[in-house]
Amino acid sequence: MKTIAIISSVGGAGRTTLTAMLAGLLKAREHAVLAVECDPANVLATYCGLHEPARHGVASYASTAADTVGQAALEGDDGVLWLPWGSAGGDHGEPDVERDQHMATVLQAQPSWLRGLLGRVDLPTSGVALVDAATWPSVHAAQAIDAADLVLVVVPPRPLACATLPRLRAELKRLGKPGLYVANAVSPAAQLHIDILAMLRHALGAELSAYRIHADAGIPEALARNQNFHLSAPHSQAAHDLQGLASWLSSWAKRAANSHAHASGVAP
Amino acid sequence: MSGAASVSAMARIKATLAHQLGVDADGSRRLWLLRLLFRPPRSGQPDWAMQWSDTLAQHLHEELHIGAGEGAGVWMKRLFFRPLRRRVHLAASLHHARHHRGQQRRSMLAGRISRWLAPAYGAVGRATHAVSERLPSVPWQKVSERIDEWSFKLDRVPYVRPVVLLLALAAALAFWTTPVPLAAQFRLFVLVCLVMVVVRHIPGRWPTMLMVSLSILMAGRYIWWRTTETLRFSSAVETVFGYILYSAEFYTWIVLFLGYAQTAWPLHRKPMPLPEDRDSWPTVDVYIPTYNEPLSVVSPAVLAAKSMDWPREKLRVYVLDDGSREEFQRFAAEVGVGYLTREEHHFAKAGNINHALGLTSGEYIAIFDCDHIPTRSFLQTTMGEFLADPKCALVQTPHHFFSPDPFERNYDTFMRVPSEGSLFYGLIQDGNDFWNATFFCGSCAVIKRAPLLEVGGIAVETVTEDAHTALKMHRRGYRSAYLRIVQAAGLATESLSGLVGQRIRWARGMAQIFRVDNPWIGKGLSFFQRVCYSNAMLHFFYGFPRLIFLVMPCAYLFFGLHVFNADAVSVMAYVLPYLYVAGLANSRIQGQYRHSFWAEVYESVLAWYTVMPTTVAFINPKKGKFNVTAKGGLIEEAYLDWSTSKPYMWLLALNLAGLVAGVVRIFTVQRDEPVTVLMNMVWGLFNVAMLGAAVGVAKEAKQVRVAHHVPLRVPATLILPDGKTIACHTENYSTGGLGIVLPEPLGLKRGETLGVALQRGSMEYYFRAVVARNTEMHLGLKFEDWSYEKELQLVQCTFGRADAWVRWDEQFVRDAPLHSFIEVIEMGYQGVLRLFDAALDAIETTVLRRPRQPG
Repeated sequence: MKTIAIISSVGGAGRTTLTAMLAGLLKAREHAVLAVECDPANVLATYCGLHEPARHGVASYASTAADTVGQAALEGDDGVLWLPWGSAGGDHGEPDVERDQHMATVLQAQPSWLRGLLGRVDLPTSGVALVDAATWPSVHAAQAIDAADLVLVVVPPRPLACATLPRLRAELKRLGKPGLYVANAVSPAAQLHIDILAMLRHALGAELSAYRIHADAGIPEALARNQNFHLSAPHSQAAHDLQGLASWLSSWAKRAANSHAHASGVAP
Repeated sequence: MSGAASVSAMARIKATLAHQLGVDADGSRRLWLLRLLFRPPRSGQPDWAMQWSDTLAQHLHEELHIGAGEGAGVWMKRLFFRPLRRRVHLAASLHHARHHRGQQRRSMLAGRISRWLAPAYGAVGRATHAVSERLPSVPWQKVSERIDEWSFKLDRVPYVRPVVLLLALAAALAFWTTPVPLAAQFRLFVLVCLVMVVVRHIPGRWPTMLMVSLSILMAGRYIWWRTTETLRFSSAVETVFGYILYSAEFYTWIVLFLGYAQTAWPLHRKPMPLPEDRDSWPTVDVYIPTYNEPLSVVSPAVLAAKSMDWPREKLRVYVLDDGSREEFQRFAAEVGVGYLTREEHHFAKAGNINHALGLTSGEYIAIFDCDHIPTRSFLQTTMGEFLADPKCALVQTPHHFFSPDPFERNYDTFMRVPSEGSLFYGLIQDGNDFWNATFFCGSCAVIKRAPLLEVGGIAVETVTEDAHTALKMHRRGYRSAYLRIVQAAGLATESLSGLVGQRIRWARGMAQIFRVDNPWIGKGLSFFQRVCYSNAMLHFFYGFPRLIFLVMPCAYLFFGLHVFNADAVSVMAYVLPYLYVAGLANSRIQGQYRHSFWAEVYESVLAWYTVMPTTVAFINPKKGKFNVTAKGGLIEEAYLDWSTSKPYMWLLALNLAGLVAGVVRIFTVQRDEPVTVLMNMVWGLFNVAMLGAAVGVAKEAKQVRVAHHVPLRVPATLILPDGKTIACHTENYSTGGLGIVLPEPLGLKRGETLGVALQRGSMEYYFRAVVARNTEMHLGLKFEDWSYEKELQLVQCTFGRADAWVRWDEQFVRDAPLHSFIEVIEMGYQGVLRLFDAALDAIETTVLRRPRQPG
């Protein structure tokens, strides 16, 4: 199983949306897919049809009440496994501050906690775990990066994202983590987006994915209707872009799994 | 009382009769009549008589224009006096044909025939499949590689090549001249045919060589027989006509042999890489000569040339305006390219370029016709050749046309049958390249300045300055290269008269070169360079032989002249094998670039017009003037170009009269030799088909749009007003507009504003546009706030893309000689029908003084 962390250096970059859509697309490419949320925002479950914040999930594994672990993961229609943050408590699903704080302490104390958790997941070698992390820098993002074989950095075409990107890149270089940068919600109509994209291409070179995801009003619409975007609007450019990105990730995961199998002497 | 009684008696009789006949008592008269003749069917059986009568009645109603329930009087009247109604055209409309052809992409007639023969085809196909399944598969690729290896080894042994060639020549001479009885000749024919049929399915170059050799052997046998046996004539007139035919055939033999030599081994040259260090790349001037073309035609070419991938400071683009137009000067200043014009307009395009040579200084000169739009990779593809070979003075790339030429438009063969130019740029130039004899074709080429100046600039002595310039450079020992990679594309000639004008110029120019700078005379050329050049020139002398073939059957059909002194059986024994084998060999060599029998069509159309110019130029090369090829017009109304097709109508009438004469002859004077009459009539019929096709091309199909819409398929992104995106691809381009094929119907309204984004490499360009039309999946867009900058971006994302013309030829249907024959025959038939329609239209217009309603 290969782990892909999905992070960004600014909020609202579209990480969770991207995670959810890529999960479905990778599943369609015959990978076993586990989508994990490492973000106290606790919204991932919304994308798999849950109408209230998840009460069980990643946070359950660190809590003392071990009986809830069994209910932590969800399975979608298409067979994607979802592991939301799951720290909601109370009657109305409001965030459980205590649990979140406890989690933060755990994550702070054990930098490889998430990696350990994912190591316990039994997925086939071609399986992919997508980790949707909180905005970098944070303990949550650090955990996701630590667990990842590939870090997918979502870059919205905004000046702030460009300004914070070098730091993030330097950090990834320091950790020795391969990074793939994806421009998200790009509108060709906006000259600013085009210029920023040109700048990113100059700065990042081949690390910038050839697949930029076009801005599309259909994406939030699909979420609102509880639909799978690439199935509800298969002809949209954004869906084409996502298909391209998913194909790239799929072939990366297969290649990585194969080389790993060869390296460890296991017959493929 | 008695009246009432008789009425009731009648009614009773009627009811009894109705019961007996099985009709309703108040049934229609037709039903009564029918039942009088046919008994009602038993229950459960179809009522054939009824169905047949229904069909007939419906047909009569339509034909006689009678409504339901009209009385007998109307029927009687209409039987004798038909109401006036509009005449229907006999020739199939192109639109209709396209609709019917659909995905099949073949001629309609071929489609129909194959439908009839479908069961037989299926059985044969299955049998072939079953047999080929059992046969061991041969790795032809490896075999051919092995043969290559051996031949290379053998070639290294001294004296082997001349010895082998001499032996082959001796064997061939023996084969050609050995007389055998007719039966043996027939057996030889069958044997050779069998070999050809098998060999043509084997891939590779060696089987092609085998087919060519067989063709040469059979042709030689035919020539020997033809020369020794058939030139005995009984009268002086027959002798004259006989030798005229013989000389026409002699021409075709020369062209056949030279053609084999020219195209024996197409080089398929690959581009040479450029050095890494961009500082060592040379400076290039791009010349875009123009004379009277509108700016809308020229601007995309200029903008595309400007954005070719080459160091900015080493690329200079010049518009060479021979029309001295202010509009062009302003345009050049605005987009930042050079503008050159001159006071005196000597020597047309050649003079224009020579004038510019004196004012610019680039080491290399890329020349584009003003409507040829280069891709961004043009220079990087071509320039490597010069740097790798310092003696290389010329690199030529194909002329590719993205709009249909008159042949293609008027017969709807665009992107289905290779166009006339395909053969030259696909095969002949590639074959020339093997012998280092690539011609300069006036556009889409790069020339090195120094050698060009050494030969005195572009040649001005002849009207085909391009080929002549290349000839001069070859004489000086410079090399040339041909890259068969489409790196630029342009508009094809619009109308038939324009195309004819262009071909007249080429023919005249080639004849001029033949006279003033004959490739067989003078120093500096290798033997095969001379062969290639002379074949190119000889090619344009096809006018006379073609016309001779077109009228010769009439010599016999009208006057009973035996111009070919042989009985029918020996004609079959010698002519058929020669034609059949040569046809198959040529189909093998050229099939990808020209379908069988199409050369005959093209030549038939142009023959009449090239006869005079070539003859005049041959006698006096100084006569004749340059005519510019008209491009960028439009055809508002479908019409028959009477003036262009007039000679063909005479020839057609002659051949048709010949056929009638043949029928008369076969039943009256020549009852003793019916086979000869029949053979001449078949020849005449073939001529009728060719001439019909030639006339049919003159029927110009309508071309409605003002701006050219150029077929163009690149991916695009639509950004809809509601913020959604659609991935689609473009279908055509015209100045200021774009046609788009949608993946799903969107139901956009006319006038709605949306955005369309096109990509160039990793860059994306956005254009604002309004919906001009939207039918189901097709969307027409018109750009808003159009400017040169926008146009530059658009050209870069479309025509300028390096992959714009990659694999353009994959859509062609493969050549199958039989299919091709059927298609050409159908063209001829349709052509005759078109002529008939046009003639009736013309009569109607003049007699009734009423123009025909379009539609």
